[in-house]
Amino acid sequence: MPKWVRLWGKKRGTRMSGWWVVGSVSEAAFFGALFLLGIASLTIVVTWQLFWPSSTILSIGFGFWLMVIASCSFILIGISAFILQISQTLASPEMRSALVDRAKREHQRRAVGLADKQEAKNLPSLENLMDSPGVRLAYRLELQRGETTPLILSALFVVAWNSMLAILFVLAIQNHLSGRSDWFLTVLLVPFTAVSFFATRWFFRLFRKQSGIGPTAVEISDLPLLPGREYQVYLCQYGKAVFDQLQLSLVTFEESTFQQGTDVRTERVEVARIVSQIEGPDGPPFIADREKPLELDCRFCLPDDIMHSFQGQHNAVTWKIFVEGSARKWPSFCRTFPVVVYPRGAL
Amino acid sequence: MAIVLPNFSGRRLSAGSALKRQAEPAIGLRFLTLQNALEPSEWLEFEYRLQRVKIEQIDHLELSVLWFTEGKGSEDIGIHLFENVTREQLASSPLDAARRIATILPCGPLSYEGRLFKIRWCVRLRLFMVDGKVISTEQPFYLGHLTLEV
Repeated sequence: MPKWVRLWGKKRGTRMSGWWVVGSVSEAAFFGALFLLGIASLTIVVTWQLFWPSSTILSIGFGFWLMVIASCSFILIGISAFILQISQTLASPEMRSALVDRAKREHQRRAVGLADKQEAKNLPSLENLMDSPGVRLAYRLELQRGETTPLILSALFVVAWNSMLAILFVLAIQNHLSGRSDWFLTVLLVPFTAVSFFATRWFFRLFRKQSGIGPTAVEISDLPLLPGREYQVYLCQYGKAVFDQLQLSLVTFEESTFQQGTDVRTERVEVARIVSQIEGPDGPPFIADREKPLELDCRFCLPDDIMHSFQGQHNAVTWKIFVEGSARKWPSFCRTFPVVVYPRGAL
Repeated sequence: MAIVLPNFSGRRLSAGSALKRQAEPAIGLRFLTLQNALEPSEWLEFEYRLQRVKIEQIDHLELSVLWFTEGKGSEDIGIHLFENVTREQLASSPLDAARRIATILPCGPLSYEGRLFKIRWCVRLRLFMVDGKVISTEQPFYLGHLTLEV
C-alpha cells in the first residue's frame, strides 16, 4: 500500500496514477450508496401511503409514480453496478474469464446435450452455413445479411412519408373546397412534396441496383475452409445481363470494437484477398440470360499461413467470398457470402 | 554504422532501497521447452518457484495459460488453463522448489499480429499476499507460426 493514498488520479495513456483500489472502492461505495438511497426513498414513499393515506404529501398521482420509478431505477442500477465492481475487485481477470467459460460450457452441455467442445471456442459457428445443401456442390452459401436493409428501410420511409403526404393533400383540398383555406398547410406541402420526390427516387435507385441484376447463388465444395487446402466454388448468376467484368475473391477482414468517449465504434479493415481462378466459359464478357443463367466454376487455393476466423467479444477476423462485377446498363455490384476458416486440427 | 548505447537512468538506488528490493517476494517462471514458439496440440511445459516469501504471507496463487488481444479494440481474454493453488497446497512442498506444470496447447486462436489487433499467448502467475499485495509475472510464447519465422 502506498504511503500516501492519493484522492485524485491522473490518466496516463491507458494507465492511471494512484492506487487502483481507491478508485474501485470509491466506485463501489458510490453505487452502494445509490442502492441504499433507492431503498430508503421507496420505503418512505410506500409506507407514507400505507400509514397516512389521507395525507396530501406524496399522494398517489404523477409525482408518486415518478418517485417509485426513480427509486426502483436507483435500486437496480446501484445493486448491479455494486456487484459488478465487487466481483472485478475481488477476482482477477483470469479467474472471471475462467468462471464465465465454465458457466458457458455447463449451460451448453445442459441445453444442447453436447460433449464439452473446448476446441471450438472463439471460432464462429458453422450451423447457419451448413444447413443449406447445394445443387452442384456440397453447400449453398447464404448472402450476407444486412445488404437488403437500406432497401427495406427506404421502402418503409417512402410508404410512410407518401401516406402522410396524401392525408395532408386531402386535408388541404377539403379546406380549400369548404372555403376555409389553410395557406400554411398548402405552402408546407411544397417542401414535403420535394422530400417525397427525392425519397421515392432514392428508393427506386436502390431497388434497381438490388433487383436489376438477378440473384446470385454461390456453392462451395466443403466447409469449414482449412489452410493449405483447395476448394471448388460454383457461381450461378440469374437474370439478364452482360458482365464486362466478374471476379470472385476470398477476403479477410479484421474488426475491432472500441469505446471512444461515450461512443462505441467498430473499425473494419481488409487484410488479405485471394482472387479465384475461373474455370468456366471464356470471357469476359460473361452473358447471363433469363432462360440460361451464367454458370462459372472457380477454384480457391488457401495458403498455409493464413489467419483462421476468430470471434472475440470485441475483436474478430472474418472471411467472406466477394462476387464483384460490372454489367452493361447496370451499376456495378458487389455481393458477399460469409464463410468460416478453421485452424488445422480444429475438427 | 552508429553505435547506440542504452540510455541508463542517472538515478541510482540507495543502499536501503536496493536491500528492500532484494528482500521482496519474487516468482521464478521458466519454460522447459527450448523455444517459445509452439505448435497447436504440442505440450507446453514450464516450472515456477516462489522466492523470498514465507508461507504465512501467502493467501493463494493463480496460475493461468491464456491468450489476450492487444490493439485498437477493447481487450478480449481467453483462458486455456486456470489453477487456483491454495496456501495448503503450496505448503505441501518447499516454496523455493520447482513446481512443474504441463498442458497440451489448443488449436486456436493462433498468435496473430494484425493491423487492428494482435493475439498474444502467455503463462501468467499471480501471487496474492495476505496483506493485499499482488505479485504477478508472465512469460509470453507464440502459438503457431502465422507471422513468425521459426
